[in-house]
Amino acid sequence: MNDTKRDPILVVDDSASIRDMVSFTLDSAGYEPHVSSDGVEALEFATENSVKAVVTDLNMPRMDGITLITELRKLEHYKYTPILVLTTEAGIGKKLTGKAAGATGWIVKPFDPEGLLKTIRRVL
Amino acid sequence: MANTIDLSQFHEVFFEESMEGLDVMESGLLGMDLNSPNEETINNVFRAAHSIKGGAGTFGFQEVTDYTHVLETLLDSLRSGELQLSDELIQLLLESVDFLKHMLQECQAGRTVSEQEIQVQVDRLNSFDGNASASNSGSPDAEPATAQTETPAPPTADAPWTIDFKTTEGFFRTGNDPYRILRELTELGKVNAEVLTDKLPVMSQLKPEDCHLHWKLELSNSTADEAEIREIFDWVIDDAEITISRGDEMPVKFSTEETRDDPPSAPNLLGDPAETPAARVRKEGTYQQQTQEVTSIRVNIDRVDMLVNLVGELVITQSMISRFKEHEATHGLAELIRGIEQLEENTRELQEHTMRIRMLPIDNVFQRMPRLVRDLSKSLDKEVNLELRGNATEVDKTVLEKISDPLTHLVRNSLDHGIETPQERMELGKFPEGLVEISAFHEGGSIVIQVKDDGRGLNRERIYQKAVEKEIIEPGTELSDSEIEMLVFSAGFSTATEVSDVSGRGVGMDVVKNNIEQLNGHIEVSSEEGAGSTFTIKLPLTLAIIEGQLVRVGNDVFIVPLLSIVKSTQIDDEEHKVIGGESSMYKLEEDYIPIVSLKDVYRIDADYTNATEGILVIVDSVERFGILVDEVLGQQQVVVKSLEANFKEIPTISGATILGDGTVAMILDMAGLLRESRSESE
Repeated sequence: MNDTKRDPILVVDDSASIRDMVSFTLDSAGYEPHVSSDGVEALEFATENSVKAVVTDLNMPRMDGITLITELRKLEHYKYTPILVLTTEAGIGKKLTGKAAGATGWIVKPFDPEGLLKTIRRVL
Repeated sequence: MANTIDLSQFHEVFFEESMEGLDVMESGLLGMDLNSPNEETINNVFRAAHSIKGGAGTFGFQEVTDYTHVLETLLDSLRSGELQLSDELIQLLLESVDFLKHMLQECQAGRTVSEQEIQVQVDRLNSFDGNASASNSGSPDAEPATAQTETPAPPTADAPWTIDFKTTEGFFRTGNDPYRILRELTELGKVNAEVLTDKLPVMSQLKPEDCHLHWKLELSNSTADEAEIREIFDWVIDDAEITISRGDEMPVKFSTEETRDDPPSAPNLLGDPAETPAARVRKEGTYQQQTQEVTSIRVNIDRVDMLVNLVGELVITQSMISRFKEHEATHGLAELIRGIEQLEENTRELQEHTMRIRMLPIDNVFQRMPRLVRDLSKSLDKEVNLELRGNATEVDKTVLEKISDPLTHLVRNSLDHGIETPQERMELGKFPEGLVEISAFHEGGSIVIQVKDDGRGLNRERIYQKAVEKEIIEPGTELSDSEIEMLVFSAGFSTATEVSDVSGRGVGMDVVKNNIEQLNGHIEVSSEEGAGSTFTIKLPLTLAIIEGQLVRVGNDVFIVPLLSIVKSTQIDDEEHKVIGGESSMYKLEEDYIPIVSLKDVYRIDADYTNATEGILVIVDSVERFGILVDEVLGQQQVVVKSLEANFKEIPTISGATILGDGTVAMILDMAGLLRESRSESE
């Protein structure tokens, strides 16, 4: 990668394999991934750091994705940050609940690295 | 770059976490109270299934995704209260957890499960309690096609698209940005944009957080169809008014009204919106395991073993150097000696911490026990409570893997032979439910695992009789209570014919004892008739290093694992007996035990010519026997080097080590030694 500063992206998922896969993909595409395994952890990280975008799972222990989004939007420096939800639900219901909480958009599981990057590029 | 990313590199992690997920499901199901199922537990079970489904889809295990989907559907109707929790349902769910595990194992091994086999399992789930609707309706995430509007007849080709895009005030609040949308649109063709600012308030009333813009967009030179354009606006359909048209056709308003064809099913997936996050965090406080995971990384075991091996080498080198502390060459070199001492200290700590990398909590094995006890007590018509203690006790990974079978067998044995039927227990004035307690703890440099039951205990009289019948002991042999109890571990004591299919599968307690001894461990039983039995397993903390007793025969030094030594003694004539002119026996208390002469086994020179001139190291293995040596030297920790890996397998030797002076010493394999000496004398 070049020396220019890489865009930090926060990846939140309770599944280690998905976390690994997403962060590996982002890393190899020149982003700087940071990972958290649930909402509580992610919120803690986000409060102390600033990222360019957030990619989060919905169904997680301790704090789910919807709550995380609601909480993030309350933070001054996350008011307009793109937040994408990872969802297995192709149905519009979940997506809209996510949107209502303040999500920017969604990535439907299963997804491949290419699809992921394409979606990330939409918001960065 | 992205398209060259090999997803198979994440498979191992996926399988691992899926297995963990299955454990969560299993223990959740086992712990479920039929009368008032805990909502959180059901959620945890659901979440685990959901994660497996998501991962399997992403990593290309479609059949796992499909099966988990059906399972998830069933779990969802349980969660929504549509389905009543029953014992049968738990049983079915447990079995599907088993099947899922089977599927994943097959995938991991690069095999597949046949479609028919999957179909049988799917049908079982679908047909549960007339709940045949599981196929699609009411499914947690039935997959309706997105953006299902009737596609208008193909319009006049090449005509430019006209898009009316009018944002609402809150447009920015979801992190969307009209600029990015326009940018994306330009990828489809040439865009002419006209911005209408008529809704823009006067400067004094303008809030920078609000969006008031309205665009009229024209997309020309584009091969894009309507769906592609729509996709760009997909995320903002609720935050803007969008109409898309081409040529003269009537503009189609694009909004969620048409696409909202999925009634917000199972909203509880997202939790109760009224619930504050803090409250939810508190409620889910039981999820500590999850937080632990965050602070750990997954490392290939080969790398750890490489490290362990290198540290082993370092320990040897260090002990070589340490010998110079007393050497005259270093005399007066205080700093060098201090350095050597420091090195000793550091090496020891490094070694300790490195070994800990391989340590895992015994809970990995313990968590299989509730299921085992549940299934067994059902098939035996017994009522058994299981208590697990010391789940966090850490053991070496290899020990952990190898202790599972013996432990399972002991628990089976307790349930089958130990615990009485509820009727019997009541007649005896006991609680109808039996108790099996499995505990693990550290003691000295060892880990102790106990399986304790409050059943009928061992019947010493019957054991004695049986041992006589099986010709394990001579009739009339005088044995102490504990010696009689130890007979249950003798080879040939329990035979396949009389072992019920529960405790048996043709495996006797001697195999359990053998397995444990292969781990350089030791097993004992103590029992009180009518009150229960306790099996105690003692294992070394690690297999890479053992506490060794150095013994000398002539010029050779051998190592005997300290854990197997009962005592060392000198033999006098009265205690010694030669049978058939060849085999030498030693009289230990009331029993005669075989003497294995290392001189004869290895055909080496020794100081002793007669057994009474040597020292007898009495060890407890498959059975008790004595090893005849010239001298008992010191005790020390030795780093075990595999002989198979570095040379070849030798039946009487379990490994080799390098001593402080640089010489190589063999570590004796107790069971192998006894076998070898027997076959030689025959």
